[in-house]
Amino acid sequence: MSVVIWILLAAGSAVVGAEVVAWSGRGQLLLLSWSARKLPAEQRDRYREEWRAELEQVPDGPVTRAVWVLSIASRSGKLAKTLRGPRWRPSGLGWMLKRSSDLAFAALALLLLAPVLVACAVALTIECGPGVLFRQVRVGKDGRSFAIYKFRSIKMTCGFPEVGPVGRFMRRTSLDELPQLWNVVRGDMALVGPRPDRPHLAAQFSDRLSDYRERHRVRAGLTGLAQVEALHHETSIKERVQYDNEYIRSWTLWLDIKILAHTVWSALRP
Amino acid sequence: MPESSPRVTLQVLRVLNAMLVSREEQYGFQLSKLTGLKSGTLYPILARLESAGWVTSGWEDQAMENAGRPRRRYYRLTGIGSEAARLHLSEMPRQTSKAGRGVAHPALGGAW
Repeated sequence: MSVVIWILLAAGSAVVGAEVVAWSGRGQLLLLSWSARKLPAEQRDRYREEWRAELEQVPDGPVTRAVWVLSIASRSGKLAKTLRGPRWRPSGLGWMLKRSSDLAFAALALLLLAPVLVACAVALTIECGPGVLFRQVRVGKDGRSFAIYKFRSIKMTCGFPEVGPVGRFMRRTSLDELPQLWNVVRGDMALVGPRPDRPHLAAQFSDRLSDYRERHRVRAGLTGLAQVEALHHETSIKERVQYDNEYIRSWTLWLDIKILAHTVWSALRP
Repeated sequence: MPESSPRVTLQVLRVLNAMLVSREEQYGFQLSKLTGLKSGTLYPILARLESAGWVTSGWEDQAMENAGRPRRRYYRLTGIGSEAARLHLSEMPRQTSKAGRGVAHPALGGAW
């Protein structure tokens, strides 16, 4: 109980602290510098200088300047995102954390889901014969190709491809994609990112869509923003590319968690 | 390099409207007064319009600096920007109001 009170007190004093800082002239300049520091390096000086000049234009009332500065400070993250432009790649501590948490999560999931994977392999062997795992070439980060792992859900009946009941079930629940957890462990893929396409499709799309290649700035993913959006409405490849780039541009660890939760929920839903 | 067209929201329309009507260069605080937008909302919009090539900005002349204040940065519409602004504003339903003299769209007038 007392811990909660301390946390509330700390949060409260942080908010009050920001207010107090914003009320003093020196504090206002400090907050502006702090806001500019979030921006891309080549834009920082411009905005710091611009805002300082602007601040002098704001009427020196008891509140107006504080409101003006706090407004800049609260939306500086949004400005940073806008300035980064479409070719910006995420980096920094959070992004490094993504790779290590992807690795840890995928390894743990492989361990926990081992019985499920074995059961799938056995059921598929009975339905389709041996050789249930297969590899397929896909295009990933920086346009490099890699081998994606999947369960083979198609059986050959008298030379014709056919999907049996086990295969159909695995496709509907996306169980056939689970071996890609191994691709995540290997570092070919991430849990969340743009879906990797097959090379001939990738070539075709990048001819047609100018921003297709931009989605290869990051590791391909098991699931992505485009896949979650596709659950709600029909999406064209053009829209999926836009979602992929939007994902990269506005990436946070929290966004990954939301996308993963959405994906798992939709796979488990009957 | 200019990006493809920016998404024109109501707030973006307000900025375009203010810049089109005033026909002069404006600095940030003037624009936020004209549009009624908060400073934190205004700068991301201006940045988006700048990267689209609809708006350019530049520091004021050094000669103006004799006022003993830091130099301001001024924004103005480019040729494509004015064209795009006119196009988007003409798509808005026009209001018939006497109060809106000098304002192309009274609905977009500033709140200050």
